[in-house]
Amino acid sequence: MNARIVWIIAFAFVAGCGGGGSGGSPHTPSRFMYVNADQGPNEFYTETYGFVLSSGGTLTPIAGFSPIPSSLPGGGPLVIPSGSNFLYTNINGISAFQINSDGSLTNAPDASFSMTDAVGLVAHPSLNFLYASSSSGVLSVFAINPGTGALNLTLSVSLGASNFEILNSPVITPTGGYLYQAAVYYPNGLGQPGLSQLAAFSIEPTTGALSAVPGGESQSQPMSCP
Amino acid sequence: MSIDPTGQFLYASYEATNEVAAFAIDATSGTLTAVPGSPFAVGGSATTIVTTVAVDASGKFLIVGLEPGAVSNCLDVFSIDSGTGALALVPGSPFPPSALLCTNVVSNPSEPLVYAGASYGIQPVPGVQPAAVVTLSVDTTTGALTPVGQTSVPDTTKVNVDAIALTH
Repeated sequence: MNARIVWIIAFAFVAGCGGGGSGGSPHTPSRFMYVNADQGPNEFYTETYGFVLSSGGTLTPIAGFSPIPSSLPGGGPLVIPSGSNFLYTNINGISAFQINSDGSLTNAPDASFSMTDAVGLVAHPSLNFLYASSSSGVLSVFAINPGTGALNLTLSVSLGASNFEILNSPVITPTGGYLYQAAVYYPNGLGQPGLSQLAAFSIEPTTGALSAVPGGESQSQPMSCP
Repeated sequence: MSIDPTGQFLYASYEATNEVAAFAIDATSGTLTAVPGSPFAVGGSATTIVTTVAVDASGKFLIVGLEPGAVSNCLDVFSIDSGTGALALVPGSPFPPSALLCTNVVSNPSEPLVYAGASYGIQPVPGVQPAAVVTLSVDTTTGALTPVGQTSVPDTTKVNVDAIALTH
């Protein structure tokens, strides 16, 4: 079925704040890969696994690494802000970890937020902010503590009405100026035919706050819908 | 979705499509303009589903994960026109791995390598290979992919790779 990508004018509302922490963690001299995998078909029993990443692409399980089990259904997103030694995933709410020099993971202070439906995560290139998308159409902005990786929820932005569904992670331009989120809009309600859409936001560089890009609603692109 | 390293182009798809949409990003306003020719059809049958897209580290190629509908090669590669962002299917697509679907693709930022999550079944079944991460080298001239390694998830009951992340 054909549908369209159209732009969304989104509205922000302020959510609660929290988090913080102290302490540090050594930089990781080796390179590692982390993988979330599940048992299907309904994405239950997701666990996080760690591998040593060697030049040439060889992957070796990290010695002694204990897989981190998820208490949530659904495959969790996973992100490591470029240049950092922090890992964020959604396995028990949004969870923050410090990556140790041997590849093992340690919970960051105030490590978890009870956002159970996060389907996407992306870090800002400044390493100052983490953005989480929920399946219910909400983008949450977290400030990252640069010393510990701990998260502080600062703002949430709704894509609009309740009949939006986000399926995957947003993306951010390399310079950090803009964030784009794909979503499906169901104008006649969930379960009815939907429209594939892209929402565009500018990013305020000091706070990470999101503002809908003016005029974006004029854009459209034919596309099949899920 | 994926943005090229220069920040000029955005590529998007959804799970149930067999197309990739391409947009030019206005660096001043952030608005998106459809690239001429967009959306671009992936290779394979009309029922092939696009699962993921990722621009490689060079910005020259777009790697597209596919669900072919049966165990089959599940990575398409498109070359990216550096001026317009338009896509052209690289000969030889779809490339290995041969799997039920390729769920994720992640580019290595410092080597011409990409990593793809490969699923071989929809639930744990004895004799069916568990989920794996396949390492592929990228020919920096043609974009052709060559598998150079494969590592299964340690728990053999896992069938889907949901996400992959690398330290830098």
